[in-house]
Amino acid sequence: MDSIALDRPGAGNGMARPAYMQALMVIAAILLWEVLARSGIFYHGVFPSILVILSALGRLLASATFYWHLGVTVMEVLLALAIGGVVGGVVGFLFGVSSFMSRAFENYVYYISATPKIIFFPLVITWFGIDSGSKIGLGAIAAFFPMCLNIATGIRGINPIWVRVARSYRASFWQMLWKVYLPGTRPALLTALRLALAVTLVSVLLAETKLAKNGLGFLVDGAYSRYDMPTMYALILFIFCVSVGINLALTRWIGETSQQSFA
Amino acid sequence: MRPSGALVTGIITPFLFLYLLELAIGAGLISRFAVPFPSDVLAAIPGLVRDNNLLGRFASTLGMASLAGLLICTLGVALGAFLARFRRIGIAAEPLVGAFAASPMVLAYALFLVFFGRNFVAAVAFAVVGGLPPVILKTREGLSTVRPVFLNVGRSLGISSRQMFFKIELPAALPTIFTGVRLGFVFGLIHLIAFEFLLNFGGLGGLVAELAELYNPPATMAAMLFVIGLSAMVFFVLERAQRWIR
Amino acid sequence: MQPATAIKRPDEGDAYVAFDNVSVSFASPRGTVTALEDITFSIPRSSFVSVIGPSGCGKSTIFNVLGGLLRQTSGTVRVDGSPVSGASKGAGLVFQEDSAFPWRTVLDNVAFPLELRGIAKDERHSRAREFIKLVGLTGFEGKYPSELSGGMRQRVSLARTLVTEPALLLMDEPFAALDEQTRLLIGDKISQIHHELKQTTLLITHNITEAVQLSDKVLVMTYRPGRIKSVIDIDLPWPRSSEVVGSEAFGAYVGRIWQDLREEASRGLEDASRGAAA
Repeated sequence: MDSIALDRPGAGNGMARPAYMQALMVIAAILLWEVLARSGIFYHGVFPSILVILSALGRLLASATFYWHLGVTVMEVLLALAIGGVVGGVVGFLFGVSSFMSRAFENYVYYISATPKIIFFPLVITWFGIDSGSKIGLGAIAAFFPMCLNIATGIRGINPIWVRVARSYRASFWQMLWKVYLPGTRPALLTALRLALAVTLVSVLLAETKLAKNGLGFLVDGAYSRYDMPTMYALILFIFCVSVGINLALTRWIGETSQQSFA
Repeated sequence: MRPSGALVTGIITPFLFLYLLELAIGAGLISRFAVPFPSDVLAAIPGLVRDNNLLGRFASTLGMASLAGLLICTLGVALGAFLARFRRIGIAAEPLVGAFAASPMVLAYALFLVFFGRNFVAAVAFAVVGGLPPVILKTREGLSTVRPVFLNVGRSLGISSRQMFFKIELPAALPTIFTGVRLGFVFGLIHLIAFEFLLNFGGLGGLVAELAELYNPPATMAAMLFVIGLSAMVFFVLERAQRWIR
Repeated sequence: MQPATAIKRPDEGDAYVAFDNVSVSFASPRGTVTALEDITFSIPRSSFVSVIGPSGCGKSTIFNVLGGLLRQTSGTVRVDGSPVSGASKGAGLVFQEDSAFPWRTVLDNVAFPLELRGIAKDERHSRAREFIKLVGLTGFEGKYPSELSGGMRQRVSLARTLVTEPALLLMDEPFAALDEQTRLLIGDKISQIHHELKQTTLLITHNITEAVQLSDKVLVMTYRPGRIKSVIDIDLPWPRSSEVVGSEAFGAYVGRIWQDLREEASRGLEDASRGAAA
């Protein structure tokens, strides 16, 4: 009847609705989980009910040692992001402004980025031992790649006219950096940070499950070997919620300031 | 045609670096326990091929990755198409799928062993879960953004919705879908290798883990290089394939 | 005004297309928008009618309603006696935007409608080649649209529409994106094709010269809400060679249409600038 492709000036065609639909989906997923958990299809304990998981989560959040391990992981991730991020940013900047450097070396970074960074764990252990140092080192390596590649792309994406205008005013290097490059790469920076956070978090946590003495990944591995599934799921749930929250916060924070800087 | 200066620099620099490294380790500037001699790493390769079944493991990882890739494609495109057809569900589901993909759900890798047993099904399943999100998202995106004029052409010819999907929507969305497939393959491979490494599950990833435990730095590094080689190769092949599809 | 070479015009009573009091309105966030109001006109069989009007006057809406892509709010639209409901196999549509499928060669593009009908490969390819020849693209059958210019891509779309030999041909500003020379050349081709195949044709355009060059009759529309301001019969000889296009009579028609159009066009411009200032 109506055309499918003509512009339908319908009032708010479900603009507010996605949130409802999403809530519905999450609820449906939770219900499905409960049904499966209680059905008895799965080996006992592998699929605990949501309530059991939530109570395990409650116990975790009430225990002091949990926060100690949480702190260790947070510290490792932040340091890894800082180190890998800065190095990645600098190299990415270099690739962005110098097409020579980019043509010579960027491909290496590009193709190695497709490798799982966890594979370098033994190497980092020989350098830093089995404590937090190796996790930070691995996380930094993981953070380097998305940071470098996205910043390079971001810098290249800056309108060359702005660069030329700034140069014509004989802007110094630091002025260029502050007034042209930094604002110009804000969107790329956001993408880079989000990706770097995701891969760093994963690498640090996985390394902690493999060989560690503390940290959230260590707790996960411990729960698994004790066959304490509820705690394991509780930990994963906690980490998931926190990472989604940080992602949203990042988007809002960097997204807002980027608008301000262009005003 | 003269090769560009950048290309030449790019190729020479690693060799130069490795040569300098060899000298530095030999001179004791860098501890040989921290960094193995590059020449030792190279020398370890034949041993790996002979004694550790390097090539066999390479093939096994690649084989499982391909199986996972196939599943990722079929499931991912089907789910993506479903989300595109039911627009409201699709729009709502998109951020959820994205959040799942970005999250460290991968921590639950050990659970796959519990569910599927210690066999290749667990590894492939883990890889599929890792590679599915980009395919779903890109397929949904591609099918939802087909240029309206193409749909109108179909409508004006009075075609059935089946014909519309297979002869207009799918071909129009193919470039975007393939980007998703590329990402999905790579993510799947990454998940697979990580799984092998973390659980000493055989394949190339498992080889790195085994060699690390035996404390054989040159061999471990050589195995790492092969892992890099495998992922880079797959990545490169998929890129070329996308260019060929136009 | 009737030179000896004029072609006998079909009887007005032999209306192939008939719009009867057609109105089209939309609901929009700003209230009801009336795109077309009380449109009544007819197109005789095998004739070529242009609809001209300022941007935003709803002329594309006529195209969409006649083509079955949009339902009118009131009034009846008849093609060959029966009311229009959804896309009909007897109507061919040529759209304003680039609609050649980039993933198919020229030959496969043109053969597309035949493929949908299940016609065998050899037959549909040979029929497609006929129409590729008709639009002047012989030799380009194996090329992809990305390798062709904008004008050539529109010709592909045209050939694809003609390949089913529709009795009714609808074109919505198909040459708007082309440069003047290409447009004139393709215009000639369209005239040729029209006289060979004799389909009933409706052309939506904003270009007065084009309308006078190609049509038997020109409908001038008002600015929103779209109504028919005037109907002008073009009594010029066929073929519309460069002599005809350069003649005084031609210029007189253009002038007359511009007079009718000018007022509507300036109202449209006012509205646009008011909207921009808001």
